[in-house]
Amino acid sequence: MTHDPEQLAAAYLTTMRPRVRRRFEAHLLACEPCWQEVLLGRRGRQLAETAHDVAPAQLREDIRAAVAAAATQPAASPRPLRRSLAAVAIAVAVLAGTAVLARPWPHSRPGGAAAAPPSVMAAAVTSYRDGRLPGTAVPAEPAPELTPLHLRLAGAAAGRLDGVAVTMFAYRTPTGARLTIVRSSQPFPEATQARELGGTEGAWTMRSSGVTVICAQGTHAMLLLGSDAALVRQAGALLHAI
Amino acid sequence: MQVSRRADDHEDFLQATLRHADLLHALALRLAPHPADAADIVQEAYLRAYAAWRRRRPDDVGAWLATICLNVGRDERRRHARRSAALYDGPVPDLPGRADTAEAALERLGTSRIKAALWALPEAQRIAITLVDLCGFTAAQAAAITGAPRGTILARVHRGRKALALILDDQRQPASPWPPR
Repeated sequence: MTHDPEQLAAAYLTTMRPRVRRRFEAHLLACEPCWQEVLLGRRGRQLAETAHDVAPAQLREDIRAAVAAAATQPAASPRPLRRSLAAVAIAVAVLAGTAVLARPWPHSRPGGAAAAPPSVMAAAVTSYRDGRLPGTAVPAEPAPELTPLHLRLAGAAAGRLDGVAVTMFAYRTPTGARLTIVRSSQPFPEATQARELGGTEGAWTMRSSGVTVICAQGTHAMLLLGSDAALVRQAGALLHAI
Repeated sequence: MQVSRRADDHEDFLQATLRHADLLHALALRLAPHPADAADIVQEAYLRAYAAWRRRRPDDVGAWLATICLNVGRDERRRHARRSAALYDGPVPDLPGRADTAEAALERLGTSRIKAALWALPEAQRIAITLVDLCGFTAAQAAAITGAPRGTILARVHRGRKALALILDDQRQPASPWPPR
């Protein structure tokens, strides 16, 4: 009898009607190639099943927050919502632009510098999501110390974000959570969806496209960005930004 | 009125979909090697799903979410392939934490080897195994999600399992105490 052991074993281990299964099991007793196929397939399935992961608890909270934010947006077109990065970047830029037009910068500006253009916020979010630095120059200032949060420096560079001179520090925890700090001598514009953070004057937070942003205005303007909202908050607190 | 309908919408959506978060995360982890990127893929998938939910309610929510997640993952990979100056390349090793007991640490390292072996498989096999063995979809559901025929899914799952067994069993072979002849 000609048969394909691979095909039979694949069907046997995944889905097979009971009557066919019994027949195949009888065949297995006499057919070494089929037996070997079944053994290997079983072993592989057992190994694959041990790679099961449980989603981090924070993920559900992030999904809830992102969907709740999306629910406040108008349900516009009958076509599927295309959430390309470019579209998100444009949307954030427009929102930030509206914010600057509607509410002039409410706090004192570091060093009396002019405010950065609103699109710099979108550029910062995009830069975080892409895992890219704004340039290649070595930063003149030391990286903020975040080791108490198990955040290790993964990269740093000085460069320009949407034309604004910035220094960026990228961190990562051993479990893979990322956090980015962007510093500038120019203040960052406040987005309309920004929520003020109690405690430190001028500090605010927002969430855009799955990224939590905390903005603090000290002697330098500073943005903290990360997908893990709790980690961003802890870093903000550690750096006395909030 | 409209606002309250939307609020109901999003509560309905979350109630129907949040229980599939683990499943989507498992799938996203096989699409992006880094856990942080996987979380981004899952969130983006939920946002796309919510936008579609407002127009049409799917019959099989889990399979529908997995299809969206798979598309988001592919989009992400295309985008990553285009970028020139990548900062984060390669997965962060899954190292045991300080609180791990010796046994748990060994177990975790074993799991990380299996995960690494999954990454050594061709993408089609990796995704088929993830959908069937890790997410619990039937071969018919996996076929609908990926757009491949059911027979192809069965073959991919089986070949992937075999490859996984061979890769990991090879790694477990102790070095021979005898010099080669």
